Amino acid sequence: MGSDSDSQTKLHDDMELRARIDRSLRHPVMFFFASGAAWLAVALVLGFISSYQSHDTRFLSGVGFLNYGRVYPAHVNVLIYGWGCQAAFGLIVWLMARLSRKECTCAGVILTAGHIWNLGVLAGMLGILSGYGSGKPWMEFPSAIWPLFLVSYFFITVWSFIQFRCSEPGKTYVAQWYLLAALFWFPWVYLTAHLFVFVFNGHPVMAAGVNAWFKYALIFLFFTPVALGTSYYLAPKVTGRPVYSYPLALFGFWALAIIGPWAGMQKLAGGPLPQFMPYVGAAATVLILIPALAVGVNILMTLRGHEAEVGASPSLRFTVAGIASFLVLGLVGMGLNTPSILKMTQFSLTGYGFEILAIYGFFSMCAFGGIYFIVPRVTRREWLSRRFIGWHFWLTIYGIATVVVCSIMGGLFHGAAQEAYNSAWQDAAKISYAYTVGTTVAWGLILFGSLFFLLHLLLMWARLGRRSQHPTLLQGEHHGESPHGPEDDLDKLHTAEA
Amino acid sequence: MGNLLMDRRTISINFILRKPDPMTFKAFILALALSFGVPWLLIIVVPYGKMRNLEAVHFEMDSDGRDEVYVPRRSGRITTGSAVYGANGCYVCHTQLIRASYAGSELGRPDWAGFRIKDENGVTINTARETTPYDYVGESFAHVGIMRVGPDLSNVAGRIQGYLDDPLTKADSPENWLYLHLYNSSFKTKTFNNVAGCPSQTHLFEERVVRGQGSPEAVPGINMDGVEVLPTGDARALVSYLLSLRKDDAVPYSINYSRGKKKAE
Amino acid sequence: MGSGNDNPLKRFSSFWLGLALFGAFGLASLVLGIGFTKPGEDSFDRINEKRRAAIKSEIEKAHAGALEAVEGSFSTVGTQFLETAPAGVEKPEFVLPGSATQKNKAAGGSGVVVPEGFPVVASDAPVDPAVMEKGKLTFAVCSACHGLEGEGMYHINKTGPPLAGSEWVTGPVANLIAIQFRGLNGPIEVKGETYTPVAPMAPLPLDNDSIAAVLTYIRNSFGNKASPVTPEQVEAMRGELGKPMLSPADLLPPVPTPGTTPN
Repeated sequence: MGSDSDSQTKLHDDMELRARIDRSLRHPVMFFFASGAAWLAVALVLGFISSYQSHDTRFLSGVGFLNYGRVYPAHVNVLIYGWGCQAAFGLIVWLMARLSRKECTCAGVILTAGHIWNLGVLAGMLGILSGYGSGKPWMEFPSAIWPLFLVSYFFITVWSFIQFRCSEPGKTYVAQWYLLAALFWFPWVYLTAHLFVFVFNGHPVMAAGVNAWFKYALIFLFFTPVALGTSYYLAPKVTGRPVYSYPLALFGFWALAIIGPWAGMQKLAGGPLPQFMPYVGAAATVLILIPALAVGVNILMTLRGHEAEVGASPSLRFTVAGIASFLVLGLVGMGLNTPSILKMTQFSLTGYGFEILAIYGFFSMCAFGGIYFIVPRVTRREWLSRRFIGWHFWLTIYGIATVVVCSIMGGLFHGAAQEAYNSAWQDAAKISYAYTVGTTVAWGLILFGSLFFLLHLLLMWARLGRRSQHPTLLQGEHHGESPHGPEDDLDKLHTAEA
Repeated sequence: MGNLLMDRRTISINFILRKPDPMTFKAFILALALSFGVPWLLIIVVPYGKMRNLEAVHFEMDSDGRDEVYVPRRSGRITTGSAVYGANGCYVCHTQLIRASYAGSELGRPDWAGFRIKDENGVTINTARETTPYDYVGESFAHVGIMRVGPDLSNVAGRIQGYLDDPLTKADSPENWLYLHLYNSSFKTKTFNNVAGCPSQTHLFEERVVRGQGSPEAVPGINMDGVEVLPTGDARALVSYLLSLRKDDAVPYSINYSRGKKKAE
Repeated sequence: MGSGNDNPLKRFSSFWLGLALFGAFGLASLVLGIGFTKPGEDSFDRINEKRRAAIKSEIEKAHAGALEAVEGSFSTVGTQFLETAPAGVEKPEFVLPGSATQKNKAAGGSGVVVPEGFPVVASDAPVDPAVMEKGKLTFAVCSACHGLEGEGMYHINKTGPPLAGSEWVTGPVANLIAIQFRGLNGPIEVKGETYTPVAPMAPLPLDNDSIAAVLTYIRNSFGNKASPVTPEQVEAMRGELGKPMLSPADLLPPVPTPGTTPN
């Protein structure tokens, strides 16, 4: 039994190491998740307001601070930089540390940089609402803020790179490829875009082109790999099975790396720049279906046969929802960007629907999956209420589905009416009315759901979670017994009797 | 401490998850840089560099009737107005791009891409044309726009002249039409009341109690008892910028992409 | 992919490697961006300015040679111009030194002078119908300014005053012959009205018979009745030919004042 005790010792050591890693990372990770969730709530409130204003301009009108033209950019930017980036940072930091089996020694630096990032988001949001926005989509924070973000990013994520480089030699996880790629892609994309748009003096149309490229590059080259890395970690981890197909994982990763950077400029199709650029962007967005299919098949096949676990585990549920959204994203991307359809969708609601599907439907769902997995390990408490998790999940699903249907389908009708140049413009404008109302309803649902999440997360952050050996699972038996085991004398009696 | 049961299983699985590395870190980063760098070069850097130094386009004697270089010019407060336009999110609902006919149908909409005017011989010509690279002269960022909730603004200055002829309009000059539109888009005409139109940009205006006969700069047509509405500097810059938006100047034949173009006699 | 043990050096080098890799494309952008500033190309306005300046200098070069030729011709044109100055002078101070007018005045004036031995024709002498016919034919030329009925074309185009009932026509013959040989310029009073033709009457020095015939014609047509003009009278006044143009002040008075020689 020497080997047994050996393996027992190894197991014990590994568990201790993991616990140490979690403890070293507790403050930065929880900070990112909690502040991200808070900014998420702010972004959703702003999103609700802007969506309401899009079909009823009298709502909160007369207040310059809450003018539609300012609330909408504030909503988008806070969603991306306040929630999306911070959730991504929390995931990257924890996942890379765990996968490299390295403790975090610079938690203080990460935390400081995280505070600076938050200050930047706050200043940016207030700047936009006060009328100092830069007017460049997805880059609307006042132009002094982006260098701050870049420096802050470096001091948050370089430690993860160091951990990777110093990890045990030889073998790398699929998840690590995605996280490493995301680590590099973000500064490459961010710095390129901001230099070309804010610093260099170039042609105004090319500045608009680089800006349009930035939008999709951020989606496909930062949010997508972080979400996929999280999914590739969670699916095998929670089910205890290996990834379905290694070659498929390899193919999916390199397909994303090769196709992703071309996408984005289709916003300028038909415009005064070399036309191969917008149409290459449209083609790349269509082809995103390929890595989406590869990843979708891989992960869903990994989970095949484990439907019980998918139903029970919050992390897996959210991950599956996220991966399904990625597949829908790939299909929608193909549908919306073929040249004949691109004519109609270029300036309609579909763009917004696509972005929300990507950021919220895909990235955020995968991020929630990661958060529901990571927070108990980092705080050493279990989630308080499976009902909160359930409500969060279903409200978000309903909301995303409504946004997809209303924005994307409605946008198609809107775009088709725009293209009917012999009819009056008012007819096209009126067609979008019903769909914007639907989108507002959807944001309301999502906001409601995320309030459950925020509350739940804040309680966990306050160390008020359940102390228990049993994880909070979503499906439980409904006969008398608590899903977490016997709780009192009566239960123990029943268990003994059964 | 978490899920003991789960962890024991996953420990052994971990070794299956990890495969022998197909590539070293160096190779990985090189491949990543290449897959990013090629599109970076081809669709960002090279086009940016080339478009930065656009060559002059010449009017030719045989097709345009004169021999000089096309100098694109716009008058008005373009720089400040463009910044106010961006800061107030006008680009979210309005676009400024007339696409080629294979990519969109704006050229067919009356008054979006150009106007029907009479030239010096009394012949009606259509100045509608696609956007050229010179149409954003004076701006550092082309406000191409995100959505078309409202109409395209490439030629809005010309359209406003037509709106002033409408008997229902309350405006007496293009500037005042725009001030009315920005203050409350339903104030422009006596009957049109659009609930989902342009949101009121009242923060661009200053409301003041009328003293004496009132300020000559007040926007006429706003009926509020004893209160007059004055445009702020931002509003003036924005209106000046919007009134510079017309694309019917004479453009050389070689870059005039309109259908009805003719060579000069 | 990881490469070895975890040690401080490894960590340190990874930090800087991370920095370099993160900033790789940003740095590349900056480097290329510096290469973007191409100062050589002129702005479009400058290009047009340069073209206009080039055209202007070409034109100036072309004009430079021509100016000399123009300047050279001034003296010739000026002298000729002075020499062809019109003769009619009203005021003594306008008389140019060395001009024909001055010579004339020195010679005693340019007025019409009836020469010695001027043939006298009785006022009731018969008019030869053949001469009238010839005169009528010759008058066709005169009718351009004086009208076919002698009514004058003055009311139409300010050319000739009327001949019908004109006291000059029925007055001294010497006037008429002198006018034919020397022309007439200036405002003239006919029947109480002043006529200022736009152009002077040019001299029409035909042969004696034709002049006599046409003068006989006008003196006996349009309601006029006066003595015919003979070719001998015309011949006697041939000396007037070549003298400067007449003005009405030079003519003999149409109505003879008492004490002067009639006709």
